[in-house]
Amino acid sequence: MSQRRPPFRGLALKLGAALALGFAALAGCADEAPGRVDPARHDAFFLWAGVRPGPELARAKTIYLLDGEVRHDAPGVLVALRPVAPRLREPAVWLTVRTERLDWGEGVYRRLLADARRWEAAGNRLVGVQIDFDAATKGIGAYAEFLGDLRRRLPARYRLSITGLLDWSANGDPAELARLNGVVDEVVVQTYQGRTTIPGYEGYVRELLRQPIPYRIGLVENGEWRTPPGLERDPEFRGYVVFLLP
Amino acid sequence: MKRYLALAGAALGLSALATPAGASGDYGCYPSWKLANGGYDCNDSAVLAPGNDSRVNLYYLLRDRQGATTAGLSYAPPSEDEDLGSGHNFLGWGGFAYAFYGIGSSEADAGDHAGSRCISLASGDAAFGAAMADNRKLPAGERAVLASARGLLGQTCASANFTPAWPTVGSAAGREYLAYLHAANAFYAGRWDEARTGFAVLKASRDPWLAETAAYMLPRTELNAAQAQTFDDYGWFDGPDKVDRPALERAKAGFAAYLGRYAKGRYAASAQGLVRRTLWLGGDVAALSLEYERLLAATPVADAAALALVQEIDNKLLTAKGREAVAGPLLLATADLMLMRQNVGEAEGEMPAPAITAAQIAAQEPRFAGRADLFGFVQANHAFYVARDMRRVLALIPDQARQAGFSPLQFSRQVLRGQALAALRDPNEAGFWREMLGGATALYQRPVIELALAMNYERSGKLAEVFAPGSPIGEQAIREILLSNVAGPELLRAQAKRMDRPQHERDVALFTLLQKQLMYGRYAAFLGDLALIRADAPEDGATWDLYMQRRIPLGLFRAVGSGDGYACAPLARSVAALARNPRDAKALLCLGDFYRTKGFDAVRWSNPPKPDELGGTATQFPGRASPRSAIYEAVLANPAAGANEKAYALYRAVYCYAPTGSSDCGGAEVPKSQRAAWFQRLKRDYPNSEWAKKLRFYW
Repeated sequence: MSQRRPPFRGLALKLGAALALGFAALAGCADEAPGRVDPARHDAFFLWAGVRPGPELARAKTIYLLDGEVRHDAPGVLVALRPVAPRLREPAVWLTVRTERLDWGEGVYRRLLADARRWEAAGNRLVGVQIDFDAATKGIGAYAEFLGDLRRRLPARYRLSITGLLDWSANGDPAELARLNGVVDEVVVQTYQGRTTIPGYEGYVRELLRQPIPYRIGLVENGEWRTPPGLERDPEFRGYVVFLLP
Repeated sequence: MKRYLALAGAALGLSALATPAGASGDYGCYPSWKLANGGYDCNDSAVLAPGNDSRVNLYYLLRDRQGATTAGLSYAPPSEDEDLGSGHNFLGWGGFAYAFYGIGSSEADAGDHAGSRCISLASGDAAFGAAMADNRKLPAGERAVLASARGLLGQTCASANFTPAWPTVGSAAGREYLAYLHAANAFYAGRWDEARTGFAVLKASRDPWLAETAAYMLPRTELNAAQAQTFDDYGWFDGPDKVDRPALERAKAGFAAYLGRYAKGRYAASAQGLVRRTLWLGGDVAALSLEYERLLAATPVADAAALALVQEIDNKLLTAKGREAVAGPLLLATADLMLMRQNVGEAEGEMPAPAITAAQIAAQEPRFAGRADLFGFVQANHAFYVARDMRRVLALIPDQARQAGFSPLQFSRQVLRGQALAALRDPNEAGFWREMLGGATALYQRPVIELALAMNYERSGKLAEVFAPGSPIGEQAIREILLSNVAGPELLRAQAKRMDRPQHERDVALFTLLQKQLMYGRYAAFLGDLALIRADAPEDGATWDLYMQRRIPLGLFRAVGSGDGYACAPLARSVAALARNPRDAKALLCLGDFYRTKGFDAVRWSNPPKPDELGGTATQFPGRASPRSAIYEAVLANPAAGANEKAYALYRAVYCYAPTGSSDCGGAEVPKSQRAAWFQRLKRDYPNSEWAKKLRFYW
């Protein structure tokens, strides 16, 4: 990324202020108190390394588990962040890699595939690989290219998921976004920055309803959330994923 | 590291700094341009401080203790995918490998098995083959069979459930090597009892490689057994409570025995590292910190291995439970500084308040024996950041600003003194910094002093001194932040023509000048300054936070008009019309479209400097800036504006709030009822305009 991406519109960067704004954005239509994301009412979760799993995970149907990350200063290394393979019997498991770069060395691909095989061998029901990369809205083309290549490298039995930013559908180029369709099986759209839901998320979700890629909505634990109209009827909507906080 | 959640931080990496939960945002980290560095931020600098990453503080202390200089090093240019946002003032841990060793990263690719016990699989293959070649009693045919059998271990590492089909060998030596493979396979598969039994027998082998390797593998097996139950179902270390203590004790004894017998053995370095792991696994902070203190003394900072050591210490000791028990002045100072961190910029309740008192620090004096300089510095940091007692800072750190050179600690001490002088508004603050300039020659030191001096000038009405010929303030980022945020038109114009300064700086001055001439309605002056744009100026690039951007898109001001519905002449012609009549509706709307389509709305998304930051004083540009929203208000209020202009102004005013309901167009936001009124007015008064037909919602 060569340029600093401007923050979300209307979002004061400091989180405290963002929280206050969140309420302001809803003030006009507050016929009920804004909902809070309660993990107990969900069955799909992101589990970052270092986050202590709570009891809600026992009944999880889907878990996205961070395996490792490719850091800005070392594109050739997948740094493992989970000391040993998980041993989960019930839920569908996604192996998530957080990356700050797209020019991976061959070692990263090898390690990623080796980890995936180890997770399978340990008895997990691994359904796919998820890439967590903050492509700037204008950089989706390059990202789509990277993902196409990754797709070709992954065994066909693995699905490919990515995290996406809330403003892609509103501010991105529809043609570039369309390039992701068919390459990725789903986008988990993050509706939060830090610990709080992005103010004005309803407007962004409305834009989301117009695009053709299957998606889930990523919510932050205890963040604000009221289901925007039309979301749960949207044919591409695949449900929620709750990002659990440490 | 900047962590308050000991385990989470390591996992979250850089993004943890900007976004506490690691919920992703930009991975970049943007510093606040000021000297105070008390909290959880991105201000890693050559001044040791609570807000520095603990790895940064410890590494500089290590350089300090070893008397390392930065002679021969120069500022590395940022890599192509990095912005210029840190200047030479801020350097985070991730940049140290490159800055101090010229290598990309301290993170080496240790292969597919890094981080697991299978890490030794590949090196073991080679060693196994060499050992067999050395054993004359081993028939050549069996060597080949055994070498190929060793390949089976790789499949065990890929899947612990793999059941190898072992060959049979006839010679006594061959059977021993095969027994070794059985034990090694059991080790990789996690069958500790089987591995233990196998290695215990082989320790007595007459084959020297087998005997030594078994002596090392036995405690390694015990160590793995000790930690085997400490991982939860998610693959995460669950703390030392579930450690198999007897196995851990056997591991410690075994490594001690190995190192006693094979002090310079082939596994000595590994065994020493694993001894540290036994201490960590057992939660023995005191013993672990003594070992780290020994290693800090033994690891030359000229070797990049020092980075790995600091990283390990941070990960395993400074952020671990019980870190208050650390021993040794370097580690203690690093831990103390972490405990002084301030709860700034975070939502309430997310960070603990400073957790160390002056009395607790005072009680540490014996543990700082022989390091009065470091002890005084720790005390002074507490006085500055926690007690906010500036006079005590001055008492603790006498003036030693005039030096030929500063070690990292000497430098940090004097800068802290200068910060206290600044806080006290001491009339000699600037003089103090100017004295420090002479000795601040090490990498990343001088820019700190320039920042201090620039902030002093900015706040004492002497902005021009920063840019005067012969000014000691040469750091491009510092100058550009002042130009973008504070400078008035004359200074900007003069700097845009300074051929002795870098092109980037001239471009930032000119871009700011042109942008503000438009925003402040100085249209004639804008037209005059357009001629300063160089012929090859680019059009692509961000329009905000200019000092960070590689390309300054000056070419945008030569825009040739737009065509997304509302037809516009080239920008210069619209501005010329405004110079004749500042209320010209068509020209105003085209200026608005220029802002909108060329990215000028984004300027206000960036964070302007806060009052205590460089560039945080009031702009010296005269008049008042008009945001895009003011353009639409002016057109709507102008009786002379045409119907199409009014309709377009309504359309755009409504669109300011798409899609989020908050405005892109600057100015005070209007209530939703006003947006509804604009929408209805457009539909009612201009029903046949293309703008009424195009607009389907309001937000």
